[in-house]
Amino acid sequence: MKHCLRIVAAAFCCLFSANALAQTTGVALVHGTGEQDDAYNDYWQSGFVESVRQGLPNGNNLLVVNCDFTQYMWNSAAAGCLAGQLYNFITSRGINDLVVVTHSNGGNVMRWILSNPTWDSRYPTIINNVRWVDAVAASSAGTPLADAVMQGNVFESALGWLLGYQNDAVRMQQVSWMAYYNSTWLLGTSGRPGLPRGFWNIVGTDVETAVWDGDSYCGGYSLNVGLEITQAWLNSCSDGFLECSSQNAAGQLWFYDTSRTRGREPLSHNQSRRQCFNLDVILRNDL
Amino acid sequence: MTFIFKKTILGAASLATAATFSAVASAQSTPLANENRDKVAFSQPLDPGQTLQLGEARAVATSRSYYQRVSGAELAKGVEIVTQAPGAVIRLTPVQSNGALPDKTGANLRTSDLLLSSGRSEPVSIERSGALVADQAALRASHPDLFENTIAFETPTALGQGRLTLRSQQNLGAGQVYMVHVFDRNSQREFLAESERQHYFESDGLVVRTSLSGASRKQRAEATAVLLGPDGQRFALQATQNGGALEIAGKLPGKISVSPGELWRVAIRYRETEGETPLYRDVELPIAVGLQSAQIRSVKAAGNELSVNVRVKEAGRYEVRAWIFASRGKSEPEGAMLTYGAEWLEAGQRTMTVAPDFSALAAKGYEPPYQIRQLQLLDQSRLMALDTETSEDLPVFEK
Repeated sequence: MKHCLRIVAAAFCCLFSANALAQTTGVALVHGTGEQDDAYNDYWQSGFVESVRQGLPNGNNLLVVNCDFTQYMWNSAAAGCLAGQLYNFITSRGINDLVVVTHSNGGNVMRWILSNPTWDSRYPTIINNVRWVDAVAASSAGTPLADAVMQGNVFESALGWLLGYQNDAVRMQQVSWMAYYNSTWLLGTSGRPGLPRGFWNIVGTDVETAVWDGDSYCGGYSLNVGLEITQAWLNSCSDGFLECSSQNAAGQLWFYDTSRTRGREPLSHNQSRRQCFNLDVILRNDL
Repeated sequence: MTFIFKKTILGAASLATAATFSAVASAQSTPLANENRDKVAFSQPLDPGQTLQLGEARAVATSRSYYQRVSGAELAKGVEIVTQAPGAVIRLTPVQSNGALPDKTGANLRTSDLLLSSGRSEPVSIERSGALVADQAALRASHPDLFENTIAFETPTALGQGRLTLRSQQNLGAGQVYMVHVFDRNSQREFLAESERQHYFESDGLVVRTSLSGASRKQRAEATAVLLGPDGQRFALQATQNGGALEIAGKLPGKISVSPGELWRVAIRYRETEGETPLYRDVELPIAVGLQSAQIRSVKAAGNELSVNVRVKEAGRYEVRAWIFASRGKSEPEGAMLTYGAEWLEAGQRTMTVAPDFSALAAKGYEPPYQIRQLQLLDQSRLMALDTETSEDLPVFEK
């Protein structure tokens, strides 16, 4: 059913575009929490990016976004930076059929732009030229892990007691904080108006860390080991960072990982931005 | 048709005082989240069949966690941990002490040196218990944005619940400080805090109701609460018994320092210390606290436009957002379109206009009348929802 909706939407886009002007397809990869200046190598890695690129009629129409997503989503270094890079990409290359692939908190920053069209005069141009967003492991309803690392210092006299990375993006992704932002500033969650463009969720459901299973090593075995204990903070359906319900809290379900991945393998939170279990091919074929 | 606002949904207008205005003035230096001067409008048709919730949502937070600060000396001797169910997740993190970072020994926690016991039972090595364990390297590698120097483990199921003792055989340094976070994940007893409103202005009264799932609350429980703002602002709140319920109440200060979009927190510490299975819970309820920088005074449909009269106290970028309902054929009216308009407004009486895209509504099969069912005034510079009106008397476009 969801796949059919996507096909209908795509056909509509094609028909509309064919009548109006030639369709120029592009893809933008939007990273998650963190400050990136080389997301191509550091966040996604070249194998993933180059595989996705193969789905484009013109391989040059691919943008790897580099912004500071340690900030609150509305910050000029976050949504402002993302808007700037998307706007320049759209206008300089004549893109009128943009597929945006987001990972994790990148989905929130993109959703900020889609939900607040009057915030910035560049936003309507971006919204009008987006075909849809493929939101991979989006942290739409936050994560209890952010609660765990941000809370607990209330009744202590010292501020900032934890030796961790307590940036504003992590603070924002606390569950109750995201509930506030979802109900006030963001669209697409239950009871709220839908987003102006499709926001299709790919949901990671589990973490596998068996030493004898080669699949556990995809994306880096050591990265997955820690995810297994962090699953204990989460519901039984989670990717080690996000509960499935958070990943599918905004927009519409595209698919749960095991229904489409090679060998029905689950995608841990780190694997869902890597060339694991055909994810790159699925995204490539969506262009 | 003109609709005059007699109240605000947020109910704060009547509480505006001289202190409020001085707070507005004092907030001039606060950096604004949006200083864009462009006038921007947008209309977004909605997909049919959406169920929309009107009005302001409640603020809600729940917890099955508590936090406790302990010293290296206490850890060497044995620290009590309380759980309501087996299989709790414990996290241990070195803490800055008086601004000083822990030394290398203090920061380098080893899971192999941790022992856990229940009552007079023999201590169990965490690493050999079969329960899930993650050392500092594993947690850092998996979540570099979250964890540094933290270790975590599950309590072995065989130890059950209640009062457990955690001890480290490692020489950690007596003065070193650690934070113990206990997540009682399998407990049915969840502490809930909720407020009727998400947005509060200076001098507003604040009431938070709490409840505990699973069983009735003990009368002799201890509770403390505090309101925390950005930049370390801290205000005591009153925790009182109201029948069988625990209620947190207080009044927001007349002068506040705001950081746009950053939420304030009502933090509650709850302790039932008696018995064999004590119950400890800490919860943080986020609320938006800010300046009532502008108010809607009246709104009317003027031709094909919506005209909104606004009293602006503080210059900034403001957005009007109208939710339009309409019917297709004989169907019930449903959410059909969002219409937005935003611009920079200086202080004074101002008028904002937004023009819904009626042709897009017609193209979707929606027929007049087109009724505004919700109207919001948002301060984009300070990220506050200032007014959310859902009256049936809001303007209707007949064609």
